[in-house]
Amino acid sequence: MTAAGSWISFSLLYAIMIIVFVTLPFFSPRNIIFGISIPDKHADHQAMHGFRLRYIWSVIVAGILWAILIIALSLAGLLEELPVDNGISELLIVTSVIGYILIASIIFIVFHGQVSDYKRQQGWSTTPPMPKKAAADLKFRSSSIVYSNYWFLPHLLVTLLGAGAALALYDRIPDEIGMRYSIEGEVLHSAEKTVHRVLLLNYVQLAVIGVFIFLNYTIRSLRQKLDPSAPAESRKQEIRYRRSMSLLMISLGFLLVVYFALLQAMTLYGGNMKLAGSLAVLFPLLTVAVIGAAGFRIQRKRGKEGADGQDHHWKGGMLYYNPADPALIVEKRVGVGWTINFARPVSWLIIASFILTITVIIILS
Amino acid sequence: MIIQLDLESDIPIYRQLVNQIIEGIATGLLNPGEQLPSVRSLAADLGINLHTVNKAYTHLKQEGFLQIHRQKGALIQPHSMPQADTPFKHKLMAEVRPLAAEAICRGMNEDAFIAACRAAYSSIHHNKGGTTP
Repeated sequence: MTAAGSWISFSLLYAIMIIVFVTLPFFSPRNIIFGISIPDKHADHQAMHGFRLRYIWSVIVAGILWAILIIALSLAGLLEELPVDNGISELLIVTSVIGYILIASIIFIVFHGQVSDYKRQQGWSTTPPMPKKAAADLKFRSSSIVYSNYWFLPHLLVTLLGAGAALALYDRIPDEIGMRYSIEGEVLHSAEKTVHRVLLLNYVQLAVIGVFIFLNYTIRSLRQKLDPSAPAESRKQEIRYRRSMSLLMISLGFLLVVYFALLQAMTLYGGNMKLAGSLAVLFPLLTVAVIGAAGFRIQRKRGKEGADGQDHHWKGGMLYYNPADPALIVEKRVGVGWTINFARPVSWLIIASFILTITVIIILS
Repeated sequence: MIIQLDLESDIPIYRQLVNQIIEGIATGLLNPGEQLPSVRSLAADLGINLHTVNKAYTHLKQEGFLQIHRQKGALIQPHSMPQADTPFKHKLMAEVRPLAAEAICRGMNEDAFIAACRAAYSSIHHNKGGTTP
């Protein structure tokens, strides 16, 4: 990787991480601050703005300091044997990003603790009185609460077209195909042409489609939270929310599949690799922006209701542990999307299989 | 069909669930052969214990209103609904009797009591599309 290219990808990736952490506290219901529920009337309290502001400064300053440390180490060549003009190594980029995620998470947890203490000092109680009523629609999941999986047919079509083209034009593909590229489009690592290598990105596309179908299924099977005092109305709202989340997942899936199709076309049939390189960088940015904007809009529309469990069920404001809750997948308190209930043994199986999959991929590659 | 539970009521929660599912069948909101949500998912939706939903389903199965399949889960009885047999008539008497007694104590006359019973019956029957008897 060239020096400039490596620095560009480092700064982009790093900037995305800082943006994610800066905006994190805003992706939660209005009455949840750092994973702590605050009584409605205090949600706009001066002190809450103070916490948010100090958090934002902390993650930015910590980000800058950590980056300076990484850059200094890299320039000094202390962490790698590479000559200075080779830029920053991929290993160091990954280390810096993971390190930053850890640092920023610790900062988040510190603020979580501070808000928790503040809430106690003020004597604010948000322990909801035991619910008096409950409501649920028996036929909720038989109505169309998410878009059908047929909407993944275009994704599949793109994948099949790509695979078909690769097989039909197999002879035209160069004998050595690039497996990894630098940001500027030069081949870092190439391998001899085989059918599986040619179809590699199609396999990735299939995996992406599988993941998004699973997400669509998850959106469908999430628990319904109907307001017992206005069940019919909240049912409508709930369905609108799920349909927009489902549409978001289908669109994101399509975006990813098209992205891999473009990458495949460029690597196999030649093309402007500089363009491919910038595409590879711009695309994650675009994805983060889409999730951010759409997620934020959908969350805001949803209002402040809908936080599962109580403060003490959210360890550090992030991890959900509630043995009394039969639900496995619940909405996140902070951030966009869902998380699992760690009090359910199945959740540990999921985590274990996830780690196993990653390990297998790393070992195989 | 929306289930609504009063969690502070004297009537046990499982009983409320049983009553509302039977009423759903009576009004035709729940059709024979229709699938009910799984025990776990209904418990999560209502925020109540798994065992409570399980108890309600088991009770309905014993009464013959539900079938529980290994694969399809709980279904509304697709074949013949349980009939008004002798045990049901005994149960009916046993449950109406204390209400009648209380009505008498409170000075309600027979016609008013019968009218209340009729109103309950016909409102459910009417919802099913039946004509008021």
